[in-house]
Amino acid sequence: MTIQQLLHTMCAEISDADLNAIRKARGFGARETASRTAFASFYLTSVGVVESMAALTPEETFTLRLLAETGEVDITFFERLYSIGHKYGTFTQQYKPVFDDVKKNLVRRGLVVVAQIKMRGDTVQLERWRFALPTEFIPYLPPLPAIHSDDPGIANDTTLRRKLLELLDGSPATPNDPRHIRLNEGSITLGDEPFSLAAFENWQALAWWRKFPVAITKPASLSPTDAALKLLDTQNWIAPKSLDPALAIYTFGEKVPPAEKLLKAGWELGILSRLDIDHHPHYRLAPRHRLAASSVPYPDFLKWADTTTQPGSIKIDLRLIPIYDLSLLNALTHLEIHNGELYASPSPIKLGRTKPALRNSRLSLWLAENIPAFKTALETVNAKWGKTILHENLLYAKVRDLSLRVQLERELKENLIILNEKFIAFPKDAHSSVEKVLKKAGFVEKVIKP
Amino acid sequence: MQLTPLDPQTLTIFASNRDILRDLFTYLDYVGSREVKRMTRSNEISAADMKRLAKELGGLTFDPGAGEIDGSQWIEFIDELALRLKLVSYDTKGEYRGYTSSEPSFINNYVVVTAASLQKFNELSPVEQEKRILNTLIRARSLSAYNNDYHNEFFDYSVVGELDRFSSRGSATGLVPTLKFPEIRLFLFELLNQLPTGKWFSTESFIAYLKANHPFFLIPENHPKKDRWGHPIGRYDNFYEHESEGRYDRDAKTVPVDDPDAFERVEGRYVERFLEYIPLIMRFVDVAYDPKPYRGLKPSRNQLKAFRISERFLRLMSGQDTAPKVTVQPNFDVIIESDFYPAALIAQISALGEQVSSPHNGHGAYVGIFLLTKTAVAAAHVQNPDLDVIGLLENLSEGELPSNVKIELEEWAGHADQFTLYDGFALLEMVDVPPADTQKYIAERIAPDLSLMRKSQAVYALLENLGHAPVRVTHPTGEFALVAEPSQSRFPKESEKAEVTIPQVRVLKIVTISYQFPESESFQAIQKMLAELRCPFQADPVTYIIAIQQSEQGKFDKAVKKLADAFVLEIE
Repeated sequence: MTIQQLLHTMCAEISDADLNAIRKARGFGARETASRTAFASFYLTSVGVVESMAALTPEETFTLRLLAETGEVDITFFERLYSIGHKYGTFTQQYKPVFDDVKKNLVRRGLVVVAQIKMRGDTVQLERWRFALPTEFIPYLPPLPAIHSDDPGIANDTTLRRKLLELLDGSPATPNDPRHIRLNEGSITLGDEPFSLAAFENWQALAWWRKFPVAITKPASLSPTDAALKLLDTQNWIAPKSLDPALAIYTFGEKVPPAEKLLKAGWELGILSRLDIDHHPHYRLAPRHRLAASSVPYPDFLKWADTTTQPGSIKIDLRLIPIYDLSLLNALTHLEIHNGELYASPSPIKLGRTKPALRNSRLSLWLAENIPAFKTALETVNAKWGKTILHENLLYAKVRDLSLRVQLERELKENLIILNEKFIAFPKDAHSSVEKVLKKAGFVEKVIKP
Repeated sequence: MQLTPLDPQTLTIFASNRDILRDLFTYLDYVGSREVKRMTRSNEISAADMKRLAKELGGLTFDPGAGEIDGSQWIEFIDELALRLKLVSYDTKGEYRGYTSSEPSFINNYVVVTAASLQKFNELSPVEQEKRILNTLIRARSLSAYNNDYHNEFFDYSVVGELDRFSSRGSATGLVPTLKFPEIRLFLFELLNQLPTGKWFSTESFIAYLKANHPFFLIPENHPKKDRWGHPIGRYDNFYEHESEGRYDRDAKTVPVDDPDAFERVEGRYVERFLEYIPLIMRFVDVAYDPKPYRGLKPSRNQLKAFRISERFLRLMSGQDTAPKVTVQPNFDVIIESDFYPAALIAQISALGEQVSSPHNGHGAYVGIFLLTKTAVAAAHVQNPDLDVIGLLENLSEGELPSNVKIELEEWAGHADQFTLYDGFALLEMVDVPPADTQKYIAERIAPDLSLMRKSQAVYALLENLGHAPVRVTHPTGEFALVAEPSQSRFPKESEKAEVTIPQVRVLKIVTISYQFPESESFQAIQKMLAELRCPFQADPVTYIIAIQQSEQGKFDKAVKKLADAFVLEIE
């Protein structure tokens, strides 16, 4: 059931007492609640939302944040917020107190919509209730206590650099790291996938999770690291202490590490930035563009690139190269290690595999300007690119009957390309339409497979 | 053997209209083409499958009247026959799910066609197939170990007959377990084989003949005198007669051996029931019943008054395997005539056309009419490019085809090549001539710059290594992917991407007028009046608000006028 359906079901079935409670909490007039159908529209307005949200406890706020991310939930979701009844009782005995609290503190405040759904099998009434937070209310959720500052803070890339240097010396950056960085046939791989910005960020997130591993047992709960990634942003500095209650809600049912330890580990892995305010560390998400390409034009001299060591290639300093540039080099050039140093040389095959925008990126042009071999390779590939195209995942047909061909053109329209006077091409999903035309016209299909 | 002829004019004649072989093949087609799961508790075919099967078999009813066959019983019989012939398999034992289970359960018990057995069965000629069915039915024992001793004509009802049965009380002991029913049936079939076809004979005279000439055809003269527990066995101890309706009543008494009509009362009853069992099911005989209600000791006696032998019985017993006759008409009809259902031939012909008519109730020989169609003939050619339809039909019909049919068939054969689909190939679009190394992968050269290629992965790697900088475009299944600029391609390019047009939404303007009533009475009255005048409106019983569309204002005013005697409505 969508949130809209839940809301309309709620408005149609809610008792007058609950309706009046919502009206009072949100400050609606009698006219607005007079028609149940119209009330569903009034409910979603901003009227009284801020006031209702202001009365929430911090735990209730965090629960609603998690609810907003989860979507529709059943009553067990609120176990993280309110105490259950008899632990060994029936479902109703366990969750009736929770339901009463949710109804009193969230539903009657006009913040959470609730309705019963139809379920097959043996279910008790309490199992059939579904709860959701309208998306319109999400912007009004009180933010985490945080400090806004333009100070970029301190970034820590020690572990990141150690990970890159693993390429040369083979020593892992973190203990028991399952994703090794390796050079394989001229390309860097991270774990099983080619080295890229996304792959590297995945490694960072995994390395962080491996420091606080948990197996999620409760529905909607998150691991501590995932919870921190959801709760932090790139603008506001948050003190670890203020994150602890939120972590307890987000990771309900799991072992929660102290926020201070968790955030420090994230900073060490370069995921978070750190700013000491009044001698207390505060954290926020490190901006992605720190890793990505900067908008500053490339200077004539790149401090991480040495063009003088070997003709036709550059030596790369892994201690200095931006991660994004390394991922670009991995996509555009042939990489190899000589005497414990990483070198990049032009690779026509790799250049041919990249899209024109990437192939003619600023780094690529810089390489062409500074190294003649790169220039030659780039010009050759640019001249040939687009003249040889291999189309895959299409169906082709030889149509000998002219009337049939006309009917197919009329039926498939833009989903048909005429290759010559007999052959056509069309997407696989259009095959059913082709079969219909064939059946209607009294033709049969002869299939040829490789 | 001389039997008394009997005119059945005053009797109720019954002849089975079910072709057992045809129904068996239809059943096998059905269970082979879909997953038929048997019921967990009873292990029967589910009601939904029953209905579908009845539709497929045709001419069956689940609510039979007099002289009609019960559809569900017939389907169950065919289902059991397929199992006995080992053409299908499914679990018949089940499992006891718990210590307190009184019956086994059959979990996920699907009917599976046994391909190897079916193939062997298909290789038999129609006569041999019928013979195999006959032999299977003659030798059939109960599928359940617990009721084996009453799976015979004495105690088991015929799926097409109407006579009642002896009570099975005590049939697991005494004489019945010692009787050899397959031999008894074979003996009676031998006797029936001596009779001329198409003539009605009195059943009574048949029984009299048996009494006079073969008094021990059913129960041997020297039958065992003691059972395995040492209890004495009387000749007729298993056969109870009773006056009331219930078969297990206390008044039931065994037939005395010394009674002069004891043979008619036991063996005679058996003969009547034998005739309406396998012979009637397999359409070897037609039978005639006494239309008058039976009065006397039950089970009924002398009710199946007469019978006549059919032509197909004699053909089957003589072993004459006449080939089915195929005639091709100038109007493209193919007529198949056969004494027995020719399943293999029908499969061959139906692949070339559609069935126009098939006798669901063929009492005699099978006659099916098929219409040759262009699509089916072309499809058959696609399936088998070496197929010679004209040769095949001429061979089957043992003669030349009509000339117009021949000409059309030749043209239809060419239809198979009108649309050829290439599935699993890649299309190489190349401005330059494809390198020599790629030639071996070319499946079809469409144009100088277009080739259909096999093994796209290998082609791509080859072109890369040859320095052609190939662009690989993997199209989504629903539409063409846009080719990146600056490619030279016939396919749509990114720059040709149609600009997103803002959709136009047409909104209908409806003006609604609401009237709020002060109390319930007038609110209810106006609702009734509006409803009488067929005026659409919405009413909110909480706020007493009636809302109508502006276009219905006239009806509302009329309703107010009509209520003028009861209320004076002032609208503010």
